[in-house]
Amino acid sequence: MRPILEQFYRLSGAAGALCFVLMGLLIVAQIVSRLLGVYIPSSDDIAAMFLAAGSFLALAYTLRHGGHIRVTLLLHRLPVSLHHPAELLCLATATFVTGWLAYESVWSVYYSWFLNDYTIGAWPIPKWIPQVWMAVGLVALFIAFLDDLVMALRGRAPSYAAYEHDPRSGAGEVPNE
Amino acid sequence: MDPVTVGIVLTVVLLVALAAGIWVAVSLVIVGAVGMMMFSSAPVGSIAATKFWELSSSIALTALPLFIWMGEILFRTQLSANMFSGLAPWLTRLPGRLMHTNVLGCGIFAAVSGSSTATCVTIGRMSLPELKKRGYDEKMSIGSLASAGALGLMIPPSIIMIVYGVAAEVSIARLFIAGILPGLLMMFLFMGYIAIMSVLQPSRTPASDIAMSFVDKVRNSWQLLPVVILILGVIGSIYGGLATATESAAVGVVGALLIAAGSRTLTWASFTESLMAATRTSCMLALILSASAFLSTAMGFTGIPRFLATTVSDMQLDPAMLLVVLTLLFIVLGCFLDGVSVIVLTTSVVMPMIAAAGIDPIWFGIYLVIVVEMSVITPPVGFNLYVLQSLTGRDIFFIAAGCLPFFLLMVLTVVILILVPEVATFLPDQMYSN
Repeated sequence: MRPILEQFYRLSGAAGALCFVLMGLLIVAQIVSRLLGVYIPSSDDIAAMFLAAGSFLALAYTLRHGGHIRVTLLLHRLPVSLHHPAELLCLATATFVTGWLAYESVWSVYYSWFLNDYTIGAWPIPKWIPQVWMAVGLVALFIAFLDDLVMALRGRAPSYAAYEHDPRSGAGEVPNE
Repeated sequence: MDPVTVGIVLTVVLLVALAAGIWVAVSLVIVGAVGMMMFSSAPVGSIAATKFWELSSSIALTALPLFIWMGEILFRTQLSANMFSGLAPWLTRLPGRLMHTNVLGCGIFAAVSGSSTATCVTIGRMSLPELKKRGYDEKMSIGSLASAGALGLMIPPSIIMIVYGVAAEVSIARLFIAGILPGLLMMFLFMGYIAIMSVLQPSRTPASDIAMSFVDKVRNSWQLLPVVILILGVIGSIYGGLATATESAAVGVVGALLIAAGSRTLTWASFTESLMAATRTSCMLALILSASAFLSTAMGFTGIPRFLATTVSDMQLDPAMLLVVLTLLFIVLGCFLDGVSVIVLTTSVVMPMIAAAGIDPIWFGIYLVIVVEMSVITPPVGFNLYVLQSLTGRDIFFIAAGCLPFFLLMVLTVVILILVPEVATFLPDQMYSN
């Protein structure tokens, strides 16, 4: 199970990054074509769809690498005996909330498909096609939180712990954000 | 229930969630959901899904991952190593000499980085040992370093301004342009202060130890030139109306890749590292912004922003008074949150008040960025203070004392901004009329 999950998170990151690269290439193509006097219809809207797909698809990967920010000021000041229960509480809450968001986003994709919604713009497409990646990404994030919750219940350190450091402790690199 | 009670309940929920270490985006969703469920019968779930989709597929946001990627690529070149050696030879004749490398180095680096904390660390690691070795006043070198990070956030492209622009629904291109003059003003004040202090206390500035011909100076700093040209190109194309913020960001990425290739630091490993780092930061910001879009809508259902806005207009509150109150609020929040979180947390409630008081949202964005950056060097818990503490080994009071004059200069910038709002609004207005 572990190798499959790790592969899944890597895929999440790669898919997200690919969407961002495609978005960048599309915008460059838009600039070049405009200089040549050609107009690509709906390119702004399609770039925004790549943005949304990328932003959601890589959520799980981002969590595994400690990318999602939170306030660890108090958490790190707690007595050591309370660290684990506090972490469990955070993970349980986040698992519940992302599970709810994932559930709702799956329903919203279903409704877009069921109601036959189309995007607005010069080149309308069925709305569920770009939207489905939001649902996939949020479900993946839910799985990642659930995974860490299960690990924490078994007494292991969460995946992101290695990347989270207290700037007050003075150790480690500060990421370039 | 009246808005005051609602507001208190939700503030408590938010603070408890944040303090417990729950992720910022998740905390925002919780507060929004609690607010909607308690005070309206609207379908919470489908509104959350709709808001998440609307925000993350907004065209304005497409600039964000690209500018972050541009910064990540440049971050992996020799840029930070070249910063000190490239700037130093030009500054030996100014009063204050190499102390100015902190201000200029941070200004250039933060323009491409977007995080004042990362800027402090990157520039400080190079410049602090060099300045110390030459016998420069340590207090001032630390203070100028901590404060100059904020300076760069005013100079486009600025990630924090994109976040504000998306959260407050303000034109990002105009925000970028609005930041130029206040950024230069702050740079002028910082460098002026350093120069004046070195004239008043000549013993604190050691003699110059660099004697270089003009050609050598150019040779030493030529690697900085492409980066400066890139920043000027990004600003210029937006100001001239040649490109949208997103297009200039795409050009910025291409330019950054060329610079990396030119300096032979572009490898497959550095390319993927920069891309994945940009992906993580963009995802983190997109999730927080999506959550804040949902929170804004939820707040609308609770009636709190409307209540605050009518209170502001009924009380005929002086805008200056409102700004003083908000400044205090932001400084308190900045004690335990980073700048981005402070902005997404507060826009939903603050923006209607700003509109009611008749304050220009572009101007307010510039003001907000300065105030938020002031908060990270405010003792006892400013974020950059701790970063410098670990970098220098000095205690927090020594560092805070070094920051104090620069903090006061930032206050002065805010005062100038309030008295002469044109400092921020003049350039964007020019752009608009063109």
